[in-house]
Parts: sequence; C-alpha cells; structure tokens
Amino acid sequence: MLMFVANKIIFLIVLLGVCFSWVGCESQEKTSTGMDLGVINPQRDFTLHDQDGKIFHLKDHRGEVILLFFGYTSCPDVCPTTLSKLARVYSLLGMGTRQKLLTLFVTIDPQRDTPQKLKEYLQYFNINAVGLSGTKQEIDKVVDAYKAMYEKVDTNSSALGYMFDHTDYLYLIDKEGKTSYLFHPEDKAQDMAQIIKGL
Amino acid sequence: MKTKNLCCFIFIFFVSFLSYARADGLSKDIFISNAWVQAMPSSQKISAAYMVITNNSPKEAILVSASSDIAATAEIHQMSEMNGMMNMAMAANVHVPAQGKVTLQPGGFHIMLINLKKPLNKGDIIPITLHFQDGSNITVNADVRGQ
Repeated sequence: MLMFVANKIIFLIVLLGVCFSWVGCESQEKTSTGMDLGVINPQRDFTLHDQDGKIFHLKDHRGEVILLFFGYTSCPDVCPTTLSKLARVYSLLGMGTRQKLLTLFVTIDPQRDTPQKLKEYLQYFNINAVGLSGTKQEIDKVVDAYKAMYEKVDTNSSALGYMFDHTDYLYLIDKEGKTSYLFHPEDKAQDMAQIIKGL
Repeated sequence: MKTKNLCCFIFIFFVSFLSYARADGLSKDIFISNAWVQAMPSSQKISAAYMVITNNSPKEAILVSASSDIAATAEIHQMSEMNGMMNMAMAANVHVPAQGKVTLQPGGFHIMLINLKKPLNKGDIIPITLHFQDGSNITVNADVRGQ
C-alpha cells in the first residue's frame, strides 16, 4: 500500500514537472505583442545606409544587442514617445550593457529624412542610436523581412501634409542576430531593461 | 536642508499651478490638468500636446479646436490601431461627457502643434487655448517634457 502511494506521488511530481516545463517553453515563445517570432527575420542580416552615408550591415554588429524600430522623424506621437522611453531604458542599464545596446531607427520616410536630419533627431534622445535609410525598395525589403508594415497617408485636410500609418513594435535582436523579443508601446521601461539585461 | 525642501515644494506647487487652468464663461466647470507637450529636437517643426480635460457640468462639453502662439497651426488628432498599424487622423472634436473626463495621451487623442515657431525645450511653459463648441475658451499653460 505504502509503495502504491509513493509511486502515485512520484508520478504526480513527474507529471507536474512536465506541465511546468511545457508552460515554460510556451512562455519563451510568447512576446508582448503575441506575434510569432518564428516568422520574423529569416536572414539575420540586412543592408542599408547609415546616417553618415556609410553602408550598414546588421551582420557586422554580432556581439551587440540591437533594438530595431521602423519610424520617421516627422512622426508626432509614436516615434518620439518610443525614443523617450528608450532613453529611460538606457538609463536603467549598467554601463557595460548600455555600451553594447545599439538602437537602429530605420526611416520609412526617406524622402524627408535626410541622413543629417536622422542624425540630429536621434542625437537629441541621447541614446546609442544609428539612423538607417535607403531607397524605398531597400527599406521595404527590411520592413518585409521583419513582418513590419507601413502605409503613406495623404492628409489633404491637415497642415501636416502626408503622414504614415506604421507598426510600432521594437524588435530586440540578440548578439547572434536573432530576433528574440518584440516590445510593444505598453511595455514598461523597467521590464524592457530587465529583458535586455538577460541577453 | 529645510530650505531646499521648501524650495522644491514651492517649485512643484508653481509648476502644478501653471499646468492647471480653469475656464471662464460657459465652460466654467471644465478643468484642464496635467497639460504637457513633448520636447522635440530643434530641427523638428511639430510636436504634440496632452492633458486631462475634466467636465464637472451636467452637460457634455465638446472640444472643437485649439490654438497656440507657439505654432502656426494646432489640430486635434487621434491615434488608433488599425490593421495592425498605428493610424493617426484628424479628429473633428473631442466629446467630454457630463461629470466625466477625457485624457489626451500618447496613442490616443492629442493636439498636434504644426510648424513650430521656436524650439521646444524641456522645462519650457507654453500656452495652448482650447475652443469649445459653446463658444467658450480655456487657455492652459503646458510644460514641455522629454529629453
């Protein structure tokens, strides 16, 4: 009888262990946006031009943690809010992690965002960031690779001219070039810093 | 130390007072609080203003437009998620329910300040006037926040 109870308890412990490890695996796959990471970034590399006019290859930055964002400098709400939050994230990281964290701001508005404008804009937010641009085709290739989206919207009634609808995810790319997390605007700076520290 | 604390208190009180406005005229029961504007690099000619509009009257208040000496144009805009993207569009108005409030915040309603006449630096205080459908106006002093 005693052996029977002991066996049952062992079975239950093993079962619970299997359940917890399965839940653990599931939670590793989930992101704050719920997007499946398996469909993102098959190549782990892209090529664009940086804010100094030099050719930028993502693969040249192995060993650095990357935050990738698609936006435009005339963006009045989402982009400055995101970059301001990133400034808080950087301030929460230790010097070592901060130096190895590079933010890439890929413009979806190459017509207005000159390299100089990108540089001035990003310097303002006081983070380790590089502005990237290219032809529309070059930018679209990267946008597609990351399953991001944008759409130019002509606003005849507004003094703004044209604007862009765009996705607002921040892609966290690990030191091997693999996209490991998607941050959403609702994510808190403290939580983001914790996740970045874990890479 | 006490003097330092007193100075801090006076400063916080002063800033709170500046960002809090009360209406005259028909909308005397409308209060604006926590008004702020996103600081932007000097090369940028646009920014957005946010605030909480509280309506203590028994009638709905309708914000129809805004203006500011700091910008050539001020427009009411609304961000919303559409087809997986953040969409921004001009809004004709903002309805503030009777005995209720509306928060203008990033990702939602905001006042777009377009063609800024001077750079917006953190700590600046800028006046913004809200125009309501009943003809009343409220001017609020918004503090510039950000980098």
